[in-house]
Amino acid sequence: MEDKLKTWAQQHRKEMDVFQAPEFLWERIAAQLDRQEKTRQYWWKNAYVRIAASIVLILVSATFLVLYQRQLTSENTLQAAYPELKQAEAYFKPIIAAKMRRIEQIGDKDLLNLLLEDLALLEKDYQTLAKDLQDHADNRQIIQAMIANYRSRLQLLERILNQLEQKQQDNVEL
Amino acid sequence: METITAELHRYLLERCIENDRRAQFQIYKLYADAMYNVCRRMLKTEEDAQDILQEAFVDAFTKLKTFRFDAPFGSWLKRIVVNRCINFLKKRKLLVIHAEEGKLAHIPQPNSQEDFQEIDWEIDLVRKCMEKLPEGARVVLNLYLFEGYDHAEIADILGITESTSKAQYSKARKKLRQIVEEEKQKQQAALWKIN
Repeated sequence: MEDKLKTWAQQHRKEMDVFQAPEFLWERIAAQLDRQEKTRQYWWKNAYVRIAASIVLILVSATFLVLYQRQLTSENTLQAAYPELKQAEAYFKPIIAAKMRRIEQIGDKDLLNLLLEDLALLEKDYQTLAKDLQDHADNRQIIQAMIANYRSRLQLLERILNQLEQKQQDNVEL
Repeated sequence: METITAELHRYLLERCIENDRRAQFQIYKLYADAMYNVCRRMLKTEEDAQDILQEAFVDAFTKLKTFRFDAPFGSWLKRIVVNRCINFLKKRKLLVIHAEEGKLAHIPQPNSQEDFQEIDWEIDLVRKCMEKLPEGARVVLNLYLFEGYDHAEIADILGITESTSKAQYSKARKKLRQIVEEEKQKQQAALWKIN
């Protein structure tokens, strides 16, 4: 059913608008928009905000720098502090590397993978020991264990290399 | 001619997005009076209407970026104004609409012949009488009659159901008629005294 009140209201819709927006209102609106823009766009231009941001930036970069330096020097300082460790490393490292190359030449892939896994375990042990040494300075036992660790690696490589060479010889003889 | 106006209008709005204060003033001038009247109908005092209109325009200019040009700008702006008014009333706890679900079984159909024709409706009188309605009824009646929203839209704006909106409208309509009649009688009586 038609709602006559609604129809009547629509017909007289324009007559309902009897008021005029006050003149001063635009100034209030413009002022508020100005304020808003200032706070929204230029908050980072505020001196305090900038100083605070700079301080944070400096602190963060300083922290990273210190952490990086510490990591970099830890290995060197360790060897410098313990000459016998340095000697052991100088002795074992080239031999181990040479044996590795030899095994790579004559060994098969599966064997090599197994070997690398074992060596990785030993390396992990070594790192744990190195960390212990840093925490409790001047611990002879730990240094002994670290040198023993190198020896174990070398022994492992020699054993495998011997077996490989034995096998090769057998093949030749047959 | 109409397309030129529309294009100019669009140009102005695009300048407004760039925070061009002069374009914003042009748009303000085009809509301020209409929107101010919306506020005056929704809110009782002049000061409140001015405050809300200010907030609504600032709000509209701030989020104009989100305006899609597919709908008329006027309706978009009006919706912001109306929502601002409703929020204001709700905050002041003036606007309470009871969901009268129980009474929905018999929403009285607007039987206009009987309650419309008998009295001579005058726009000024109606406006005065509307102010005497309870807030919820007044808001629904106003949104439906003068702001041109249907019940689905009113339900959406006020966060009520469509049937509650219809029930409120019916109630408001009846009450309005009663108030208008009373006022008429008062006027008559006054005239009679003078004569």
